[in-house]
Amino acid sequence: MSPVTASDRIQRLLSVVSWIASRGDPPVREVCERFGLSPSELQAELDLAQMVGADSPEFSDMPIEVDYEGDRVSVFLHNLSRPLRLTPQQALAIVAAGYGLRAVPGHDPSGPLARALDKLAVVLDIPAQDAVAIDLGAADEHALARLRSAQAAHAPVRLDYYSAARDRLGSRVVEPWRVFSDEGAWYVEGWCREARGERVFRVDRIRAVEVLDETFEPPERPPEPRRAMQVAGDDPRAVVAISPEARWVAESYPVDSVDEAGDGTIRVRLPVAGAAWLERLLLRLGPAGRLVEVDPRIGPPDLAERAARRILARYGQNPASGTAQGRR
Amino acid sequence: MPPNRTERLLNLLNVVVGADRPVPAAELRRRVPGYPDDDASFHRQFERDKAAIRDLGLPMEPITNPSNPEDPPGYRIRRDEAYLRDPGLEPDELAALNLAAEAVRLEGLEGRAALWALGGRPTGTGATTDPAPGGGEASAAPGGVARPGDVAVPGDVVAPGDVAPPGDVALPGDERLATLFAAVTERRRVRFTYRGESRDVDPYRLQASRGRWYLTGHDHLRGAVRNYRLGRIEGGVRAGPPGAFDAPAERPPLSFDAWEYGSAPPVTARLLVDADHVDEVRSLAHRAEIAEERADGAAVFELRVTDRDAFRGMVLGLLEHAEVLDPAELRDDLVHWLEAIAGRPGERASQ
Repeated sequence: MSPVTASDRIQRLLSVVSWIASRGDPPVREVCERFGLSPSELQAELDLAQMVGADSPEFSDMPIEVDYEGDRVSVFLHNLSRPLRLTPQQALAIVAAGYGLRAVPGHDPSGPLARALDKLAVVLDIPAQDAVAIDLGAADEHALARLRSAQAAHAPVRLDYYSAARDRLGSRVVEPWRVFSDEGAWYVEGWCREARGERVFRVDRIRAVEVLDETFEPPERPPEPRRAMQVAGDDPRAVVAISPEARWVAESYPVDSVDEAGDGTIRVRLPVAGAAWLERLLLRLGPAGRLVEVDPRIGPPDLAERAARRILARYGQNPASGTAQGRR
Repeated sequence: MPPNRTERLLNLLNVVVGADRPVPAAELRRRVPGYPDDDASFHRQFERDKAAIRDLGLPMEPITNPSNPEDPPGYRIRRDEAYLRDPGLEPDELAALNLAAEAVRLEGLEGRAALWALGGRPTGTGATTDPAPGGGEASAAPGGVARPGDVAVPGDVVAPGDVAPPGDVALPGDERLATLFAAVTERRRVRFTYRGESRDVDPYRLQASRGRWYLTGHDHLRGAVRNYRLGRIEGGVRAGPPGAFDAPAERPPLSFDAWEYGSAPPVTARLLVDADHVDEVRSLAHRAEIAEERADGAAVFELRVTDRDAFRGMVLGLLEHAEVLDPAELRDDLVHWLEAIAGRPGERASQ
């Protein structure tokens, strides 16, 4: 956690005293737990509170009185009797967290979190239900719940998984270490027994989850939070020439290198997770991208052209006959 | 920050919050201990303190005393401006917010100060509850926080109620978020540069989708509602005075699908999807409706399209497992796009 700033310190002090004042004489221990303070930190905080106005020439300037009675504490407030209004940063942090958790598939729309957010919306002047909207990505709530409980119970799961990179369905046994949402999609990270390595799976590509009746030894240290998109160092590589309007590719994907060609075009060398992944990238780039070089393990140099013809076949088109004209 | 500065700011707040009249700087200097004797140093210090109070989100501007306009201007913060109104949270509601702040990380912003102000972390009756950070097994903790709705279902499924362990959630940050959020809640018009043009926008909504933040609002340059990607706003955002616009009579529809995020007149596209990709499209296209289910498991989705590039990108991602049925313009657009790729000479052939 980052250090306590000036504004945080003032907000904490006023929050603590106003909470104590609203409770009568709560036990010191309860105040400490509630605000994450050690007894000596609380003491320092309350000492500071009592000093407010003490050196002022006007007697009425002392707003905070503190009394200890055994292991209990009480506060009387003549002014500064409430926590301060939240700053936009503070308000957004709690609202985004709340709306974010509310967006978890399977969340109870009438549960305590939803009620809390409705009450907050009133005091924070949030103009409408959808004034802050958060999408974490769709995922089947039952699959998500199964994965989470398997993670908690250290039970391996058998996943029917659609590999988008290879455009193939497969089954594999995974020891789930972590379930998370990043970049608007849900993932499960863990040890894949088939691959004998750490892997990340998108939950919306899991077609079925079966929790196995056994347990696994979780890693001693929980894995570092990692981003959804990861590069395997030994993935095969491709080089793609990219026009200026599609330079975002270099920022959106992990790349090995970016070479300027001088005319605004760049050559990007990047790891490729599978043939279908590269096909998608090239098809979306269209005229803005051209495959310059590709590891033969992935596919032939005209992989994009072949993919385009495969799709066109669905539309009753057959550009291989030479009748097709590029529109550009 | 040395404690004496915190103490001085508290003293300053104590005098100006709820004061019965604007308190002039000279009087503040006398009633707030700790200011330097030298005039120039005092003014420097006082300016810094005023800035610190403004950083707390409070209005610290000199105002004229309405009953004695001859008096030098002074400082006063009304209690309703200074204090957070009590939302009246029940313990389980506060517990749910604490859990949310643990589970959801918004890059660059921390929720703890807000939680203090809302009452800290409820500790339940007697039991010390300290849910594991990250919420991994929080729902399994016995006793502690009252958690209605947290029902464990027998077997291998935990009911995903409000407080089921959420896993963890990362939301992207953006340095302009707080300014824009304040502008949405206080109805301030904002000005920023987007695609090389200066825009004046009445902000209606902030939205996080697919790892990015978007702003929706009425664009005065275009005279219509537009969406902006925060990452593409060039430079900073300036906000005008509060209450600058009325809430829109009709809120713009909420969408998380990129092809609904454009400015073109909407058309309804029908997309045929093969059986083993129906689930994928269901999760990809939040609001798409299934218009037809075929005997072989394939389905026809109906999608509202206002951004053709985004629609084409989504369809191409499905490779040969989907087909745009109509309208003809979208089907032709895709065919032409693919023909341009399929028909062009390969790298090898061109040499």
